[in-house]
Amino acid sequence: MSAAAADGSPDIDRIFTALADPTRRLVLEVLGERRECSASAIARETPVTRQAVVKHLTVLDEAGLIEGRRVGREVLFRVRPEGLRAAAAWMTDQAAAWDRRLRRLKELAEAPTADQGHNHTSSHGPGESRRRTS
Amino acid sequence: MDDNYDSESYDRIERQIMINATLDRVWDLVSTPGWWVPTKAEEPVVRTPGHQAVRHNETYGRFVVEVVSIEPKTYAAFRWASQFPNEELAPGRTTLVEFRVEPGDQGVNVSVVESGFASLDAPEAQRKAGFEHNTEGWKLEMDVLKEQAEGAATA
Repeated sequence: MSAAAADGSPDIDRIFTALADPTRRLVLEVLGERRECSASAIARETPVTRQAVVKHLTVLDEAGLIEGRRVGREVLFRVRPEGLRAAAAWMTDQAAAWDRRLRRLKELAEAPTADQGHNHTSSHGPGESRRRTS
Repeated sequence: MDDNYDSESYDRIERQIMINATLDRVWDLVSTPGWWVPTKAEEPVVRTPGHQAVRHNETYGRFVVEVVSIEPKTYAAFRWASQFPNEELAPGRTTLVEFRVEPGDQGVNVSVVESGFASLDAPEAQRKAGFEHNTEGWKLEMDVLKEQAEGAATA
């Protein structure tokens, strides 16, 4: 089945690749709403052919974002939240990195500079080319 | 519906901060290509669209940052390949980093939007490297930057 399930750890890049396609995101959203449904049922709710839905489901499955089980002649799919959680954690980390960078920017900007004495003093030369840090 | 399915959130980050300094000072720092990658190897600041600045970081390697668009004292946009240290910029490798600065009563608001994460074409190993890079690395390197900046300010 899914590559992600094989070793238990979500494959972050596959997840992002899967999420990059708007149609696949739509398929995933429909699955999320319906809890469990077949490719045919998804095709009925989206402007996508059943054949295309099956292809998208395969990619989502390989990314570990969904899983399927056979019921009679049909395969029913449902969302695996673990995959999305891993992707969300990765994004959270990217956001935290920017928080740190912005805090450092703030400290740097608010620190007194040699020509300024204090950060509240008013205007000084043109901002474009003033900075020399070496 | 579970907000986990909000797909935009896997492509885009938005953060902001209020800075108590002049617009000129903030703009000067924010519009410096790659300012967020601490470096000891200073190079002249060029803000011309299309220009590629190179930031050498002692721990994580070399990062190319391309100037995309500059609207003085308002907006600055760059492309970089945070998940591909030591490599050139290429389709599938870069994210767009956009800064907006806006003066207000409380100071200058700086917002950053980084987008394009979903379409990064990175093997898992590289994205994980990026993950570690961002979690563990920045704090230490930012301290280096601070020392540098403070040293320069009092020189």
